[in-house]
Amino acid sequence: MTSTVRAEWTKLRTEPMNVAVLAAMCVLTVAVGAATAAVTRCGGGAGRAIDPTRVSLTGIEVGQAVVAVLAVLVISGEYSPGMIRVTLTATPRRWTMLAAKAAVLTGLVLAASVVAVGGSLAAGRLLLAGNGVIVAHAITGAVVRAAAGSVLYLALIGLLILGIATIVRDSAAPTGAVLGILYVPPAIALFLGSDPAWQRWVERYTPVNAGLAILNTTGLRHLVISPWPA
Amino acid sequence: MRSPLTSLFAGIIHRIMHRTLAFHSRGWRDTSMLSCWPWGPLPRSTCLPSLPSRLPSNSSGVDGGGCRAAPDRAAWEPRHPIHTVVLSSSVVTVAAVIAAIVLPYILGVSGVLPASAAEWVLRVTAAGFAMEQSVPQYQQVVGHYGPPDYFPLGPGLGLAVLCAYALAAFALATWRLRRRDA
Repeated sequence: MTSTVRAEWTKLRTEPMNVAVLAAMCVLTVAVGAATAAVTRCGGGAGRAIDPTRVSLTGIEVGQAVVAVLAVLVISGEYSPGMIRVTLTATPRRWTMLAAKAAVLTGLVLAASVVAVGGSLAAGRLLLAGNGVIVAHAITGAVVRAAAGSVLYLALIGLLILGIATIVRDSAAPTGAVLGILYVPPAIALFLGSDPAWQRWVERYTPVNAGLAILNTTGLRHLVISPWPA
Repeated sequence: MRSPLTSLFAGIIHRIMHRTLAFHSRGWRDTSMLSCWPWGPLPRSTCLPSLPSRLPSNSSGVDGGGCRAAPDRAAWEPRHPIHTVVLSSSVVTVAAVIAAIVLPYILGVSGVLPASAAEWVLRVTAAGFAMEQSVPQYQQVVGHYGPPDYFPLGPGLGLAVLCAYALAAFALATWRLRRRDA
């Protein structure tokens, strides 16, 4: 197992595209979060209370698409040039190969997410304070949960997509399918206002809507699904 | 009128994948490049979603028919470069195009962004959806004139913004096709 993990790590590390994708994930997440924080002002959110942590972490919505690309590349990058034959000859146990891939991908996404989430929170804190939004100096348990939860969220999205990409084995098809799973339910939920029961169902049981509940630190009583099982 | 058109998103995603796959993989690109010299008519047939597909969907026609135009496909692959013609890998193309189309819309409509910023996002990025508004706004009626029922741009203007994007993508694609050899 150790040698399989090392082999997967070597494959992932030596492909320049993967490194670029991880760097892009960090940069995009922090940039979108910082841009959202920069335009957020007190009273601008249609009378709603501002959740500074949630605003700073808006970039996660973009970052997950880049994680999706990395997860698809990990598996489809082997199938399209035929490299998978070599991999499976060296590691005939399919389960070991997949577990090693999942472990390496999760480790990398976790490391990159820590950088992205930390950067987003720091940038958001500075920019929101500059805009006159009151940000508590103390880092509360809720903020820690949101930060750790976002890191976990991105890693889980990576695993979900690795699974789907392994089932489909193609490159462009799983990317489309997965981004559809990520982005279509939130769009549909927005239009289900006339049918609150369905809207509630979509918001509770689709991956992005349910997963991103972890970002909230205020107004938890009004959420359709709580961020963490209490 | 707006709600029944929600499935548009699924349609858009399917279109993007179909176009990318039809052109990028299976080596059809090489054949197309040789037959469409000097590469002028190509973007029109591959990128306009409403035209019927001119590219057959099974690769057996290429290999079996003996008209494989570029035998050494590997030599062409690394030079593949927000349409199929502009970006290099099909994974990145699909992801970038879906994220660029769907994400600003979700950010603009969901209320994550403050109202003024959301209005600008919808004006600049999701403008084409303005075409779907069918209920008029009345000055004397106080209401929520915001998405998803109302958009900051009028229907015609929204469509014009989308046309401008399509034109820009085509200009860039044509420029890139002419600049490199494939």
